[in-house]
Amino acid sequence: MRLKDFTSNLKRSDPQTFRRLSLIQTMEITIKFTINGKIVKVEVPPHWTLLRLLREKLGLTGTKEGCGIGECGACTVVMDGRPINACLILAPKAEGRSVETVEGLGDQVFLHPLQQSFIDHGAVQCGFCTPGILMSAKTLLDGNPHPTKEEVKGAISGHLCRCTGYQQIVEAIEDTGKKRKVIR
Amino acid sequence: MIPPFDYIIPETLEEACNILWEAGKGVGVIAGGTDLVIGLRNGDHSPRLLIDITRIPELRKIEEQDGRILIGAAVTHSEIVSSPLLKKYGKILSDAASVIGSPQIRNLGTIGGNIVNASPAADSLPPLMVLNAVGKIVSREGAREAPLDQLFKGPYETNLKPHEILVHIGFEKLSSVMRSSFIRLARREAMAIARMSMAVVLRIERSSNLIKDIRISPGAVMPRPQRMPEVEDFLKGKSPDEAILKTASQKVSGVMVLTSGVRSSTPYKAPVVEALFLRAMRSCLEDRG
Amino acid sequence: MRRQVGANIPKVDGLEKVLGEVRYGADLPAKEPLCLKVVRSPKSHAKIVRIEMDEALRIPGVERVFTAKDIPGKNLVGTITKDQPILCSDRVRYIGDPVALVAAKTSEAAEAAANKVVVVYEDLPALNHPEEALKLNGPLIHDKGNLLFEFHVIKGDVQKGLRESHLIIEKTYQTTWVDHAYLEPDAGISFLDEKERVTVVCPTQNVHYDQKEVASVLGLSLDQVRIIQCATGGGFGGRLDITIQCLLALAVFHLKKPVKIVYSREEVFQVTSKRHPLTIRYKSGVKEDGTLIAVEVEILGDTGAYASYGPTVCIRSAVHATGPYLIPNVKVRSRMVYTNNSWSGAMRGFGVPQMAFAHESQMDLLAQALKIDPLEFRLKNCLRNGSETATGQTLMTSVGIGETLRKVKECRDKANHSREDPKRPFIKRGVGVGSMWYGIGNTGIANPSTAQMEIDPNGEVRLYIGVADIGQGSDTVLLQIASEGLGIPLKEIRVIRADTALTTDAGATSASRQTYISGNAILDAINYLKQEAIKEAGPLLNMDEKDLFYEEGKVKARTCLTTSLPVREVARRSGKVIKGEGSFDPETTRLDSKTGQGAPYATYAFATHLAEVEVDTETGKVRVNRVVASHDVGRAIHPKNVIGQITGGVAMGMGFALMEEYVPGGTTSFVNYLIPTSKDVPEVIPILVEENEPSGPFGAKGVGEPALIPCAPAILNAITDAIGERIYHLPANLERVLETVRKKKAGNSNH
Repeated sequence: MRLKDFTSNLKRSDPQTFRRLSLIQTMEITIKFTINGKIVKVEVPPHWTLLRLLREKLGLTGTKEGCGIGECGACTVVMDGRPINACLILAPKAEGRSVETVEGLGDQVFLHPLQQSFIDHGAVQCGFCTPGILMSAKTLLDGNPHPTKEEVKGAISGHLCRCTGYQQIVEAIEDTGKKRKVIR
Repeated sequence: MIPPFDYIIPETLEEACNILWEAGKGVGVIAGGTDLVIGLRNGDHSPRLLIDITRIPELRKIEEQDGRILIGAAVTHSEIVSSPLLKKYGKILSDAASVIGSPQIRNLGTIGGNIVNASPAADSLPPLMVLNAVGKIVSREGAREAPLDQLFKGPYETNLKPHEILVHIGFEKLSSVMRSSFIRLARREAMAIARMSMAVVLRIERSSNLIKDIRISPGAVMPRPQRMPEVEDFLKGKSPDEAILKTASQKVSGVMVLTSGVRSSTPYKAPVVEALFLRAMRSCLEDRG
Repeated sequence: MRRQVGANIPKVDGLEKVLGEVRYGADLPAKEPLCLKVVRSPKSHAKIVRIEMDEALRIPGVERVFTAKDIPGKNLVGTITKDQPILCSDRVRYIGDPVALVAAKTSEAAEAAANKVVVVYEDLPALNHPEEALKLNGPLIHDKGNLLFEFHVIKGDVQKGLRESHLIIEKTYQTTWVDHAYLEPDAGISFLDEKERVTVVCPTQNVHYDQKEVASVLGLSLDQVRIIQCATGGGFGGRLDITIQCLLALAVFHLKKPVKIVYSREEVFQVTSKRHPLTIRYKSGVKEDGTLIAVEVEILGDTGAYASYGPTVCIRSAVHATGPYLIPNVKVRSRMVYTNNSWSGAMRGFGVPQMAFAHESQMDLLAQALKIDPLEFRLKNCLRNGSETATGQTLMTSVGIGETLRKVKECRDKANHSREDPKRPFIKRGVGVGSMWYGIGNTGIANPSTAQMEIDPNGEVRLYIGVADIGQGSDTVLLQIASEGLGIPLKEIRVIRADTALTTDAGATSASRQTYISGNAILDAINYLKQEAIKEAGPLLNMDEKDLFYEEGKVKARTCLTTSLPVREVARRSGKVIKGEGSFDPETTRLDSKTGQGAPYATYAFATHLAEVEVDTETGKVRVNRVVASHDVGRAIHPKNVIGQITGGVAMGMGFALMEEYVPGGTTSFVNYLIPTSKDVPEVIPILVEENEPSGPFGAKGVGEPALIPCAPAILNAITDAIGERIYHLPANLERVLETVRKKKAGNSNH
């Protein structure tokens, strides 16, 4: 688009824009998104983070806050297939997206293979980092079913774990990949 | 705790520009938000309205146009890493994008955010500097092109006006005779701000084995992203032998000290910036063979 | 029944943790809780002139602002020395000291109000160095003086030993503040329970200690206070002190409504305890044949604004100053000093990691000077069964240090370590070892644990234990011990844990003591339960008690192989609860106050790490490629858990060695406090040396702290091996390493 076209376009779109502007003075906005496969519609103050929305409004406390600034990974959820820090993303950004949390990964009866592997390998100590790491690991395996050790380390490098030294976590994720191979 | 504000997600660039123009003071633009949300939480900013530009189509594309690569401002670091176009014509940028923060941050953070935030340690800036990148900026007043080296005023400071939006950043495709290297040093292997970095683009004339083109931009050692024309001019037309490189590396640290002054970190940074420069140069030269 | 001891069973809390169902402090449900926010001092030392709260109280939703005046009981807490106020009344002593507490309907209102509380201060001179704080006639941080504690260990004649030495090496070592960086920020709730008890649910390492402090602060009796430990996201010593407990309880005491507090990460960094920075002057003397003959050590520690575990660290660092070596002449002076820095407390190892950095550096320096292989040198001098320690304690059994050294030596000798990287000439590689010893349990004082086991007529088997599992896996390990001891499958035993209303005092989850001490208390309870079962089974089987014995969950007859009754059947038929109450207190003696002589621990764990590093000599960057971690833990009840402790300890040790450095008033978050990520940690090869400890439950000792201690010394020795010059100041960050490389280069070119 040339510059001239651009500015003339702008002027044409004005009335609509101002209608939108006048609507934004509300305290809460309604957002619609998919959470663990279910579509939800919630009212949320726009300054809330997705993490706060999940924990305080949707009761999904499996996702943790460890630092609030994207430096520990405890709040990791998957949005449209990619792991993100739920503490760094404002709730309105979830509009129309699909969000997965640890609660959607598995349940008492049907554990996700990663969850089983974490138990088998002793990859859980205090467990505070576990939900977030599981979500990053799930995304990795979804795209790369048989990752190498280095790939696993890279995929969880946005997570701090103070208890395990990561070794049993890495083994648990690697092994989940290897076991899938056997099933094939 | 993040203070309240209103939020709007325009779907077109026109809409975004109009809102910015009309809303006046106290309006912020949010892309990935990885820096902005931290700032909000710390009380550094308290906007009354945030305009989310990540759903504007023009800002979401990576494309090739007339020999140039254009990257939309709202393209994430992850998208840069996985772009075949950038791997081919701007590998130095995808290399740098691949070490930013963490996988989660790379999935949110955008190149435009990295530019506009103007951190002296931002990883994508030295590569963009050596790619001679030019930003396209629009507002209701019109559009302008801003070469990156004119955009930065100081640490965390650009000359972008409050009602302006960075649409994309563009650079000429790196031809196959150009070599590039990005070297980064941090205190930790992931989730760590660069302690220092070095971006170099180099072209050696095959027939003469002389340096035809050289562009140098270090990261996290000067108040704003900068090139080092003094060193570049020194090297142009010279043969890249060890003695010349060594002299050039001393010039690199010299320029750094001249620009940033002598600080408590200088005894560390001066020799290390030299080493990183030499490594980047050697990597380019090896790559050539 | 399958044997439990030595079996890698799934951790009992694993399932709810991988499902994200387990509730940590911030996840706890409470009915419309009021949110609490603390007003904190921005000053490191100041008098409080007045506190103005009118404006804060006007903020909608604010219920109340508390100050020291609202504390009904004793406004001082502390595990040994009670010197730390819950809310400061007249004076603040470090940046972050609590001054007021806001209770409001929303977290926003609480935070807004906290910002509106005006505290007027009058600056006092701040002391930031222990040396400075010790000067006569200087400002006092606490009325009784700035020297918190002093301790000596004196054995033999150190001057004579040094005179007889062929070689003496004396160096000074410096460590810095380290944060626990447990991943869960402190958070919890409080309410009045059905019996009107002030009930606090929160992460903690010791519910019974918390109960005593809350009761004392509120002026209540113990039975009016209840502490329940919720799932705890790590501890490492940082949750041994009071964090949020008394704040929560104070609000509930006055408001009679549920309250909740959630610390931000920034707050956790600012206000929780830290590892003590120690300055260690270390002098070692050795004979020509390589026999250690004397060490003289001077330790000066910065305990910061409050005592916390300062005395413990003071004593333990002195007791462990020699390392796991036989040294006839020892003189150690250890002092702990108040400053206006962040307060130091308990952190994984209580001073021993700092001491190991010093004594293991000394060992390498001596070996190098004597031209002896560092591992051979350690083997020659290490403690053995029958050796006498620096405190005069003779260790009769389970001295596994020699075996850990031999195992590491095998690994080192097999490996092919190339020192250079042809592709990267700036890389230098090195290998280093570090060894340690660690006394299990508290030092020279009673530190009992208690436990109850019962089987009710319905057949339910219950273990009551006050132990706080902070993620390390004590629930699992203690259940394994209970299951093995009782002969009843683990899945059939229910554990009731860490709730002061339901369980009795097991002491702290600290000092690597719970497996050994609480494990033994459980076995003691089981012994009583067995006697009880035999007594009740007599009439049921028509036999004399003397002719019955207990085996594999059954009461059996000695005389008739076919006569037996499952213990649950005994409970059912007798209609009685078959119960056993047990306790265990390790056999120790109090240390002499002048000479530090005595037997402070019933048993010791030993370990040796071998680290392989590469150093970038142009940037100072160190990469740890591999750590062989050889540990004598006694019998490993759950080997996979033990390995998890070791890999975690190595990561924390690596952070201590290379990157972790808390700066009071400077460090704010994980942006400027770096701990290792998955891409930083080395490959860890764990080796379990299981020297049976006769007094341990099934032969077990402990591993929690030992896992960390030898790692940093091994890494530092490996760096020295790589670059030919030693670093005496932790952490060995980019700047220190490069400076040392350049010093070495400058030294070489001068010759």
